[in-house]
Amino acid sequence: MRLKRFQTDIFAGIADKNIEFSDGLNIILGKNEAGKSTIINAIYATLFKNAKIRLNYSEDKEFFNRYFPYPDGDYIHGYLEFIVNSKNYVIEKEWSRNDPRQYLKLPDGSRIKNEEKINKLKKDLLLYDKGSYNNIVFTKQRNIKSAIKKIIENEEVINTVNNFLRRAVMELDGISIEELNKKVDNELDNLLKKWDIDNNRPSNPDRDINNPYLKGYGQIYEAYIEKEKLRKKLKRTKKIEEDFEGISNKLRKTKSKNETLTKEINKYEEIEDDIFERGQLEPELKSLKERVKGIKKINQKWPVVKARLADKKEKLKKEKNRLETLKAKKEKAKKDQDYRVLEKKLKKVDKKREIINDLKLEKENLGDITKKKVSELAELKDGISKSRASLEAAKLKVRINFINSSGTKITRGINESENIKNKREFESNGYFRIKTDNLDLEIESAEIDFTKIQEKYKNYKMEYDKLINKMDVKNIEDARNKLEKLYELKNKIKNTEESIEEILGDQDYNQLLKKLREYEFSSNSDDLEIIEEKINELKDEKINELKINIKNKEDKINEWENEYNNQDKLMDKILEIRSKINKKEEKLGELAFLPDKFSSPADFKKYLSKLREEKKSLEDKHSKKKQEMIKIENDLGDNSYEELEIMYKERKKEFEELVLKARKIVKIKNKIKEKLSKMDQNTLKPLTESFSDKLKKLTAQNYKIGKINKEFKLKIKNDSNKYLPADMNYLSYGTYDGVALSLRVAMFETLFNKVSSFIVLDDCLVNLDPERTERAIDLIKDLKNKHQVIFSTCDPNTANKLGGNIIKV
Amino acid sequence: MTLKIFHSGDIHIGMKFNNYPPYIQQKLIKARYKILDTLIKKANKKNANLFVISGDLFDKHNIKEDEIIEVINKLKKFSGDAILILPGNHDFDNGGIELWEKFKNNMSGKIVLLNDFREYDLKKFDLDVSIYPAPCDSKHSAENNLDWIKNKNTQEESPKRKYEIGISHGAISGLSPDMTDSYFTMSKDELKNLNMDIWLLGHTHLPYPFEKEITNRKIFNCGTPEPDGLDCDHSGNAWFIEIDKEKNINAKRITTGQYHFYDLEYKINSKKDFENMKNKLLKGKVENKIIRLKLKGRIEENLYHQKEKIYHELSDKIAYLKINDNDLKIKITNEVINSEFTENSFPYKLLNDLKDDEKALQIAYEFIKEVKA
Repeated sequence: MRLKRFQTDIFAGIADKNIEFSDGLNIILGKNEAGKSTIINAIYATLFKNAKIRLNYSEDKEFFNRYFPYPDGDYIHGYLEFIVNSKNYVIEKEWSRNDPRQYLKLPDGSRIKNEEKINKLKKDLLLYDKGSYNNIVFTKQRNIKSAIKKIIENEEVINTVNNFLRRAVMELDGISIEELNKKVDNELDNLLKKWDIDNNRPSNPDRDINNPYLKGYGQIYEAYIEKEKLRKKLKRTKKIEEDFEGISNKLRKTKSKNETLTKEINKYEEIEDDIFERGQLEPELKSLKERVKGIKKINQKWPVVKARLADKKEKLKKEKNRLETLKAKKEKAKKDQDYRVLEKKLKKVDKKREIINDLKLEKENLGDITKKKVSELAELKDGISKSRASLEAAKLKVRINFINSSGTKITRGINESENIKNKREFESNGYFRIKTDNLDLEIESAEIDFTKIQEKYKNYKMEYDKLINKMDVKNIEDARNKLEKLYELKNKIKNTEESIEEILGDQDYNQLLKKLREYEFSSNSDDLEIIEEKINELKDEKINELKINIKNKEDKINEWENEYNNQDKLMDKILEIRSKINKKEEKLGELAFLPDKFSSPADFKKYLSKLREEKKSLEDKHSKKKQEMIKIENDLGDNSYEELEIMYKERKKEFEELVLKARKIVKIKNKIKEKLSKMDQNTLKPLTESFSDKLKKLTAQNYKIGKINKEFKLKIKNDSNKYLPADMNYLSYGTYDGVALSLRVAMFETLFNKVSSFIVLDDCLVNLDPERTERAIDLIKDLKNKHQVIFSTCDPNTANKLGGNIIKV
Repeated sequence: MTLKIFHSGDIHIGMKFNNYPPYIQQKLIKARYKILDTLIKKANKKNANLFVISGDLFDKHNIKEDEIIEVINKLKKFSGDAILILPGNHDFDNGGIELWEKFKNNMSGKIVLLNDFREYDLKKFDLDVSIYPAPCDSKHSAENNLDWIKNKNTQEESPKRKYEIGISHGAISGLSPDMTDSYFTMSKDELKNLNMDIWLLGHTHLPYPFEKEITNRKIFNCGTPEPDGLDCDHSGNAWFIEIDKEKNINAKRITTGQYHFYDLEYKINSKKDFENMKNKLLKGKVENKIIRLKLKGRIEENLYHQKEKIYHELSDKIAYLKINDNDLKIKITNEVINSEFTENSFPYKLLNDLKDDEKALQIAYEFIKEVKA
C-alpha cells in the first residue's frame, strides 16, 4: 500500500491542505510547530479513526480536544487517496459528534458508507490492524521509547507481532494459529467435555449411566449415555421378555391343571347328591337293622331278668334280717362296756376313801398341836433366852483364895448350889453364893436385878416345861415339825376328797353302786368292733350290691315296659321297623353307586371338597400369576428386543465414530503443537537477522547481534561478545536511537516482506553522530527502494541529504 | 375341486420404528395395518378358500385390545371359507398368553387359531382339508415343533381329509439367516418326510421359492408382505397357491407392500457419480422409499461443498432418507496440498505429516480451511 494524496478542509490547526505523495522517499519539511505532526496524525486518523465522535469515550474526547478547531468548529475533515496492488482507493471522513460522514471509494468507483463494511475491507487492504500501524508504521522518534516498551511489554502487540511474524516469516499462508488452536480446542471441548478419552470412560466414573450429568457434557458423553441407556433397556427388555415367556408358561400349566381338575370335579358333582343321600340312607338302614337285632335280644332277655330280679329280692330280705340281729348284739355289747367303766370308777373311789382314813388317823396321832400353841412355846423360849442373856451380861469372876471347909457349897447365878472341890476360880452370872459352914456369902451384880430376873427366868422355864409336856413334844423344833406334818396331812386329805368328787361328778356313789349291783352283764358276747365289722361288711358288700343289682334289673324292665309296654308289643315293633328297612333299601337301589376308589360317601365328600379347595387355590394362584403377567406385559415396552437391538447398534456406532473423531483431533492438536514448536525455533530468525544486520550497519560493527527471544526481550551484544541489557537507559542516546531504528525497520521489513507499504519516520536522526547519520541515511535509502518512506524533519540539511519528494509545510 | 390358498405372514402388527423420526414413524406403523386390508382384498379377488397367516401376525404380546379388534375386523372381511392364524415366535402362544385370549374372545367363527399341536379338521367349513400346525410356544427354541406330526405319522392312520396341509413358523436351515439356531429351525428334508401335501411356512422375511411362478413345489415361505426394516431391502410378498384335485400345485408370488427399504452404498468420486446416484434414487415411487445411504469416496472440494444441496434435493422427495457420508471426503492429494499451501508453510507441513492417517488429514484440512477463510 502506498499513499497517493492527502487533503483536508480543516484538521486542528491546518486548513485546506493538499499533499501529493510520490513513491519512494517523501520528506515533510517544516519548522517546529508548522504542522508536520498534525498532517501525519490526520493521515493516521483518516485511516483508523471512526467518524462518529462520542465524548463519553476518553479516546474520542482526547481526539476532539486535540484536533477540533476551538471554539466553534464542529467537524474536521480528512481525504486520503492510496494505492493497493496498483489500484486506487479513497477514504474520506468528516469527524463530527452529530453528523459524521465517511466513505471508502473502491477502484471501480463504488462507495461504501457502512462503517463495519469499511473496516472489514480496510483490514484486507492494510493487512494489519490499527495497533500494528500505530506502533510500527506511524510511530514517532520521540515516542519510540514508549513504542519499544509497548512492543516489549504489551502482550497484544506481541501477539500481533508474533502473528504477523508467523504469517510473514513462518509462511502460515494466512492461517491464524490462534484461531486454529481455538478451533481444535472448541471441537475437542464439544466432544470431550466430561469424557476421559484416554480411558474411554466418563471423566468421573461415578457419573455413569446411573447418575448422568444433565448438562455441561460433550457429544461423546452424550452419545455414550444414549448408547448405555439403550443397552440397559435392551438388557431389561430381554429379561422382561424371558419373564413374560416364563410366566405365560406357568399360566398355561395352572390353566391345564385347572381344566383337569374341573373335569374331575364335574364328574363327581353329577353323583354328588346321590352319594350324599346314600351317605344318609346307609347309616339309617344300618341303625334300623341294628335296632331289630336289639329288640330281638330284649325279647330273649326280658323273662330271664324278671326271674333274676325276684331271686335277688329274696336274698336281700334275708340279708336285712341278719343285719337286724347284728345291730341288737351291738347295742348289748355297748351297754356292757358302759357298766364295766362304772364298776372301775366305783372301785377307784373306794380306794381313795381308804387313803383318807389312814391320813386322818395319822393326823390324830400328832396330838394337840396348833399353830397358836407353837407360837406360845416360841414366846416362852424367847423369854428364857432373854433372861439368861441379861444374867450373862453381868458376869462375875470369883477366885477363892482360901477356904478351910470341906463342905463348902457355892451357887453360881441361877444354877443349883454345888460343892467346890479343887477348883478355886469361877465365873458366875449376876449372883454368886458361897456357903460354908461358917460362911454364907451372896454376891449380886449391881447392874441387874438378879432376883427379879431369876424369878422371871424360873417362870418362863416352868411355863415352857409345862407346855412341852402338854403338847407332848420334845422341844420347840419338834413342835414345829409336827405342825408342818399336820398341814401336809390336811392337804392330802383334801386333795383325795377332791379327786373322788371328780370321779363321781354329780352322781351319787350309793345310787351308782346300787345301779351297778342291779345290772346284769351278758354272759357271752362278741367284741363290739367285730360286730361293727360284720355289720359294715353285710351292708356294703352284700346288701348294697343286691340293691344295685335289683335296681338295674328293675330299671331295665321299666325301660322295656316304657318302650314296648310288654313283650307282645315288642314283636309288633320289630315288624314295623322291618317295613321301614324295606322301603329304605328300595330307595338306596335307585341311587348312584359310590365309585370304587372311595370307601364311604364321607370319603367321597372329603375327596370332592379337597378337589374344590385345590381348584380354588389353583384359581387364586392363576389369578395372581395373571396379575403378575399383566404387570410384566405393561413392562414390555414399545419395542421388542429385536427393534431395540437395531437401535443400540446404531447408537454404538455413532458413539464409536465420535470417539474416533476425538482421537483424530487430539492427534491433530499434538501435531500442531509439535510443528509449531519446531517452527517457532525459526520464527524470529529472519527478524533477528534483519535486526542484527541493520544494527551492524548503523553502529559500524560495534554491536553485532541483536537477539530477540521468544518473549520478545531484546538482547544486544557488543563487540566484546557481552549482552547488553535491553533497558534503554543503559544505552547512549545515539545507540538507543540506532537500536530503535534498526528494530523498527527490521520489524517493518519483516511485516511487509512480500508487499510494498509505507512507513512514517519523524526526525529519527537527531541524536545520531554524523557517522551514524550517514549510515542511517543509507538505511533509509535502502528502505525507500522497496517501500514508500514519509520522513518528517525540520532540518533542511537532513532533507537535502535524504533527497526525494520534499513537501514543505 | 381346486383348493385356493392365500398365504401370508410376518406382518408384525405393533412394530414401533422408534429409530425413525416421528413423521415417517407413524406412517410405517400404520402401513402394517394397511397391508392387511390389501392382502384380504387380493385374496378376495382371487376367490381364495383359505387365508393363511403362518406366524408373527403380531410383533409382540402387549397389543391393546382395540388394536386386536381392529386386526380381527380387517380379517373378517375375507370372503373365503376360513382364516388360519398360526402363532409365530414373536407372538408365540404357550397357552398362557393374554393376547391370544383376547384374540379368541373377539374372533369370528371363520377364524381358526392354530395354537394346539393337533390336527384341525376344516370339514365344518365345507373343506376337505386337515391342517397340521407347528405353532411357536416361545420366542426362541433350538427345537422345532414338528415332533407331534412325526409321531402321528408313525401311527399310520389313514388320512381323514383329502388335503393335508402343514403350517409352521421358524427358520429353514440353509435358507434363513439364523446364526444362533434358536428359531425353531427345520430342514426341507424334515418337512418333506412328513408327507404333507404342502407346507406353508413363515419367519424368514424373504419369500421362498425365489421364482415368481412355480408348479409342484411343496414348501413355501411367505416372506413379509410389508418390509419392516433396512435388513429387508426387497418388496413385500405373498403366495397365491392353487392345489387341484390331482394335488398339482401351482403357485404365484404376489408383490405387495407400500414401503420399500433400501440399504444402499454408493461410491462417489465425481459429480457424475452423484448424478447417477441421484437418478437411481429418484426412480420409481420415491414417496414410498425408505433409504439408508452410505456414501464413500473422495471428491473435489467444490463438489464436497455442494453435497448438502444434493442431499436436500433427495430428502425432499424420498419418504425417508438417512445419509451416512462419514466416508465421503474431500480428495486431499499432494497436488491439492501443493496448490493450496506454500511449500514448507505450516499448513503444508502439518497436512503432509498427517497423510498416513486419512481421517485426521480430512479433519485437519477442514479446520485449516475454516480458519483460513
